[in-house]
Amino acid sequence: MSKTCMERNGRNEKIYFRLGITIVALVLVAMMGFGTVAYAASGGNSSTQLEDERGIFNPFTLNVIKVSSNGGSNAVIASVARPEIRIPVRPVLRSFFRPPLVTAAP
Amino acid sequence: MKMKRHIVSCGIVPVIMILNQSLLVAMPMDQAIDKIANRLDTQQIKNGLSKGSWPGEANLTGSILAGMVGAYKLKCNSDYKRSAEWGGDYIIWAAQGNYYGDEIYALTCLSQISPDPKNNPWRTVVANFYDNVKKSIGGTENYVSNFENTEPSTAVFYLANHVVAAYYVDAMDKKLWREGLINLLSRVDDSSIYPVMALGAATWALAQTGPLDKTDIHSSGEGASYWEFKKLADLPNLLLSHQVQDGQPGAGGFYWQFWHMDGSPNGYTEDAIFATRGLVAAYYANPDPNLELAILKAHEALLEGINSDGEVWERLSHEGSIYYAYSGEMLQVLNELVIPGDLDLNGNVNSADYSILINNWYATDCSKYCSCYGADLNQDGRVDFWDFSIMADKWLRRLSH
Repeated sequence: MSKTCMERNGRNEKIYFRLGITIVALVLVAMMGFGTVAYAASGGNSSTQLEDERGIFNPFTLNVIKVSSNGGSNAVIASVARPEIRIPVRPVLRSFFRPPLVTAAP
Repeated sequence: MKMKRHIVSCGIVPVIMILNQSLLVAMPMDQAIDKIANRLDTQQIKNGLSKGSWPGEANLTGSILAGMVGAYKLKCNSDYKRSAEWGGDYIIWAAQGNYYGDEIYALTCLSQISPDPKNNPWRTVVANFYDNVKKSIGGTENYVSNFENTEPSTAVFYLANHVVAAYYVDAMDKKLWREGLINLLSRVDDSSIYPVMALGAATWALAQTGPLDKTDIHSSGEGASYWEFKKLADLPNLLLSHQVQDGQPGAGGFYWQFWHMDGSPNGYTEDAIFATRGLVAAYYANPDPNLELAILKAHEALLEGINSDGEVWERLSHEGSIYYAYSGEMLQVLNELVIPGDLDLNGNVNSADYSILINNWYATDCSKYCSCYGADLNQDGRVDFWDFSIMADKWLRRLSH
């Protein structure tokens, strides 16, 4: 391989390295931003409610994130809503339902 | 060089995916039934408190065991019957007298293969359940109206199974169950999570339990706009309108929503299963060549959805998740797709079936399932001219087009 070619490869590697670092940094910043919103949404609790009524992880339960100004009081000053999705998310399996059967006293 | 390799690998992946879709080969029906049923039998929990259910799918035991009954009806393998009976025992233990719709329907399937379908413990459980609901606080009307508290298409699935079961035991309030199903169906639209599946399940139940007549589906006035001016008689054609046509990806399968424009993948296995069951039930209620053609196409698409290990996927294209419930539901529809008279399950009624009939000619102890190789086609306990006439009527019918 010629020296010129090696030099060019070296420059390319540096550029790719810097690009990679920038992307990782951006992703981290985005994740921290989401974490902050989610933390506020939980009213100051460190865990967010991303589970459905069956306790199964379901990110779509986070329909509306309410951001509280004072980290947990009832004063809601802003509402960050996920754009309304017209198409329902189709679960892999149906949910289970049977009405309660309340027998009359004998 | 690296770039080239990347381009090549990026190009290969979609090509393989496309080939995977186009190279799906339908397994013969006969083999498909055994592959699925053997896998279910092997994987069933065989001891402990969960004995009779399937791993991770205890609440879906009803749908799976009903499929095992279907496999037993077709193949007369006693292992399948034993597996289904274990499933029935589990349901009775787990449900504590209050059953999911598919569970109570599954118990009616077990009743059908009992030595005496008109008097057996499974049938007694089903009859007692509907009697208890009638006597409960608020009665059947209250119990049925409670289904409005859940998502409409899910409610329709469960109610459809209830309707068939209630009619099987001739429950006093069976008409209330049927009316409840029609009412819930009118609430299903594209904001529901399984619109076409619900339409298929409802058609399957309604066609078996009464006429698909001029009854207005939207009679309450509270339903979705999709059902305005729609009658029960429109249900088969509505189902036909949601089948994917020839030349489209997933032809023979079904769209999952009414509007067909969602841009998301179609060809969900459960939609194809329940839509096909609806078409078959509607066909038996009112034979129509259009329905027959649609059923034949759906049949091919369904068989393509089974892989060589007997696994059934979320989508007919072998994509998504694999669940035992899909397998059970697949066995149910395959059982309903068999042409009367196709005794060897090779997809057509021909001389091979005729020879089975002749070999059992005038056999008289055919009341039990599988006792005369299925030759007692009208199930009157003996093989005679009535069975021959059924076979003659279907002579040279094929499950292909």
